[in-house]
Amino acid sequence: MHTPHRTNPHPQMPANLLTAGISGAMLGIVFGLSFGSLWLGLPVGILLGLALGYRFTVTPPVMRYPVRLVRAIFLAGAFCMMAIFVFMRLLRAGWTGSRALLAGLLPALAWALLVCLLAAAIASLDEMQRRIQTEAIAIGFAGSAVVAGGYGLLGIAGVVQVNWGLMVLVMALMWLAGKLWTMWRYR
Amino acid sequence: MKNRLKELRAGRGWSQAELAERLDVSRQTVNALETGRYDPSLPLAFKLAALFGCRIEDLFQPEEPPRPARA
Repeated sequence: MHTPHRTNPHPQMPANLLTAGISGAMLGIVFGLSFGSLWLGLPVGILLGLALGYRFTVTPPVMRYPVRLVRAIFLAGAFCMMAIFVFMRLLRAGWTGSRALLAGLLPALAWALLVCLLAAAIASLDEMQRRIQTEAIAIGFAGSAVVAGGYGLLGIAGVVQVNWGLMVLVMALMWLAGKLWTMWRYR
Repeated sequence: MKNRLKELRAGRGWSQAELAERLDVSRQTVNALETGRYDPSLPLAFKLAALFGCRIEDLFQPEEPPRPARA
């Protein structure tokens, strides 16, 4: 008797769900501990991670990133957040001087790893998608420079207290805006 | 730059995704090439010409004809 051969339409699904689930759990722990509710943060983080992993697998993004690299970026991003969180906790626990410097290396290394993975992901794209990303980075850099300049001057004038976390967020948003703009241009 | 990609692709009965797979680029790139919003690099232009069995200048034409060089 002939049995029909079924092929799995999403062979990457288990690995993607596992990676996204672990990343979500890490972020859930960070947010849970930050806001004093680990038992809420952890399941919410895992569920959000799984949902994102499922969505990514079923509907892959327009950019043709290798799936392995995307999984590595997910983990590195979550590791980065966790490293920053641990660093802040250690500072609050009274780590100063050379110990604080050593503790500061942990998020810096995680950040460097994330940047390297992002660069590898962009290098793996086709020529037009690489151009979109490069132009988006250029727009993001120019926009961030303008905002950082104005924000820094306001800080010197004593109008605002400079928050570097906010600047990272601005950089990310500027990159996103640049990407949307260039994707629209080459639509 | 004007091009005949859409016409040649349709002539072979390929979808944008099929053409993208043959060129090893994304469907987004094929779409941008066809609409003339993106001009390919020389290696990709040669790849396209080889795929459709024609010369690059049969595939792509400038919007304005090139001006004759001054003596």
